[in-house]
Amino acid sequence: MALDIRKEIGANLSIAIVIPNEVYIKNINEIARQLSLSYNKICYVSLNKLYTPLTRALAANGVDIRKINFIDGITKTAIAEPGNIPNVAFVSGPDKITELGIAIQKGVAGSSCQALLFDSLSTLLVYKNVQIVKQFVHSIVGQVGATGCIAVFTCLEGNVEKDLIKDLSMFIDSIVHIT
Amino acid sequence: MDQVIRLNDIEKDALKETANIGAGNASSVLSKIVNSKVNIFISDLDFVSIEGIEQQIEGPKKLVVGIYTPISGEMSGTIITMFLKESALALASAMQRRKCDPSGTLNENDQVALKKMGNILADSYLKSLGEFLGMGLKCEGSKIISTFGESIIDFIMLSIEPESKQGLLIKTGFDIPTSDIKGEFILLLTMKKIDDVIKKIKGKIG
Repeated sequence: MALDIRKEIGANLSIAIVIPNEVYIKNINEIARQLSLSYNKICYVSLNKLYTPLTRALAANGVDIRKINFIDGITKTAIAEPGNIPNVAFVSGPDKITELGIAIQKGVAGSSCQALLFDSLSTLLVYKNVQIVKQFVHSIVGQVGATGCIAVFTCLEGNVEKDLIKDLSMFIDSIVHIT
Repeated sequence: MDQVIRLNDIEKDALKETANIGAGNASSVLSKIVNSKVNIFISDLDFVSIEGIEQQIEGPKKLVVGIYTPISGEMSGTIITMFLKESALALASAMQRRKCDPSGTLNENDQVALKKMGNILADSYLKSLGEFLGMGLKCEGSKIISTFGESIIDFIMLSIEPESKQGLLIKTGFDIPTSDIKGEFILLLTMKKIDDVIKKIKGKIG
């Protein structure tokens, strides 16, 4: 794969990676793998994949999941009581952005995370409009950046995403398009 | 891997007919709600090995909205009704008799409408199948999920009993031609002793 996440991040504190639908799963696993090789503590926000299959997939892809604090915004949409799992904060749903924001703030600051991986903005756009998602990202970038943690947001290619990406470029340091 | 029990053509037809009755009931109710013709068609129906189930259920390589309905009773299982976001929005709008904004978002009212639709489909199917198999099947409350299509299998496996080796898989497609709404309904039923289900089906035919 052509993406070199370390190179793309460079001196930036925030990047958004736009990924075509057909290669999304392959690329998100690879981004997580490369981040886990470059940083000792990562905060992974998952809005797309249930916690257990996600950790299984990441481990199978060579990701050291002991380095990851998970913020899971999807499992509780299907399982009301997922239980207490160390290093996992379960959020009620991907549409609960206030709860999500608080969990990210705690997850990043509380465990001195060096990198945040947000998977994905497209899921937020199912429930919230571009304006709200833009404000949310702006807030997260500010909070996370203040701790020196880099923020990586992923996004699918799409018409709604196109509008968001155009606006995000005003406060996200770099937008990367995977082809 | 255990050998998957196969139904002969007559048994399969009988089960398919039962599923068709469920689909027909669902179609009628849904048609009244959206005030439009609804086409429902069974695309796949068979007993499958749980071990190789990933190959049987392949969601699209796109973000999907799903209605997740766990099944309990004498069998366990899952029903997922799956759409692309545009179809989910269009269906929710049609159910609320309002114009759809294709670039809109799935708000609380839309989610309630889709859950209602999920319950209708699930109840219709389970009633027909339960009567045919002589088993009590009930759906737990439906929940709205969104995930990448390729990960839909993870939700389907959530309500499966760990000891289950085989399951009855029914895949049903549906569309509402006037609104360009398309969706897929996936039902997986499992139980520890699937032989009992086979016996009941064979008993119905024999």
